[in-house]
Amino acid sequence: MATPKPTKEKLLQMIDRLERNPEDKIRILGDTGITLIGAGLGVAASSVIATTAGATSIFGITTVASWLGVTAIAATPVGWVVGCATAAGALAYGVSRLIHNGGLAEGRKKELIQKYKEDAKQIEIKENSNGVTDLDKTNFVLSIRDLIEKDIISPEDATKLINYVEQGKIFLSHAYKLLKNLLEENK
Amino acid sequence: MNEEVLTKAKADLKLNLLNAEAESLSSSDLYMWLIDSGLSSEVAIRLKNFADVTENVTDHAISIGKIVLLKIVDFIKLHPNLAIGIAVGAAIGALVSLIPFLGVYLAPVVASISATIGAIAGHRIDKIEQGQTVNTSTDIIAIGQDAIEIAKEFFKLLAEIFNAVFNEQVLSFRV
Repeated sequence: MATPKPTKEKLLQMIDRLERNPEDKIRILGDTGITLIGAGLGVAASSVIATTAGATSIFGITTVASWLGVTAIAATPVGWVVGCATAAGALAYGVSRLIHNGGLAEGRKKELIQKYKEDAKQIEIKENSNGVTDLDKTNFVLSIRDLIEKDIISPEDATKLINYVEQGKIFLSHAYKLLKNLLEENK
Repeated sequence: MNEEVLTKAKADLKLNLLNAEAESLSSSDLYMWLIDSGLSSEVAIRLKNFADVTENVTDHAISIGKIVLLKIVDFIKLHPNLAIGIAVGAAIGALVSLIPFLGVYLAPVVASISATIGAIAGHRIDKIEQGQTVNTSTDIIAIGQDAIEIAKEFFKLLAEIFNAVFNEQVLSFRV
């Protein structure tokens, strides 16, 4: 089956929609031509996924924390994360984009590389115990956004990568490593 | 046209995407497709054996044989009016020229008649590039020459990917 070729704008829109409505993943990815295998997401799990996906809105949290002069890794209170994640995440994304219109800022790049490294390590442990969840895959799709926006990965390659990760043809931990390498190489 | 610069990490990503695509196909299915398309069983079985060649890239197995075979199939499909023997011969001639390390693994296929046509045509192209004179008859070999040139263009990206990823590491293929 040929992989669809959405434009950069369409792909970014898809990721934004997925971030707002992670419980609607099957339809959102399907609109972009990405099909999911084992698409039996339980309704009961939806609210949990929505909350957690908001809370782990990776880039938002650390950026917001840095505005407050907080070292996010050490000092992010759990309640603060859960309570503010969805709104702050979206806001931080927007502001971050306004500030860094050109290439990826050096600090942001380092932050992402570190994030990809940690995610690869954690997911590898989960893979070894068959513990990878659909939420892990959703977080991966969200985490690829900056690379698409800054043309570090082409929309075509990003779509294929998401597709193969969702279908289990590429290990999630390996996909994170591929993104990390792309970012490290980017000047 | 805005051409993408193929760096090592980009090549690695593309290779992994090709691998994921190729992994979903079995070498037996590819063999049957080649036979059904009219390729001689002698050549098809050698290509099937080649499909089992894998290589480790940063502790991750890549089915380079299947990737190459999948691309050969794409090339054949793209040129339905080209005799399959000529198409396979041209594809292999181009691949060996563009990705030298594949020569060892494709050698058994090169021994077949169609590939020999491709090999002779390839030899003529090399001579022309070196400024030497060649026999310019418009026979089947000349058609092979044209086919190899078309194939070289088709396999250019694959060659760039392979050369970017594999040139820096010690090759230890296993079948």
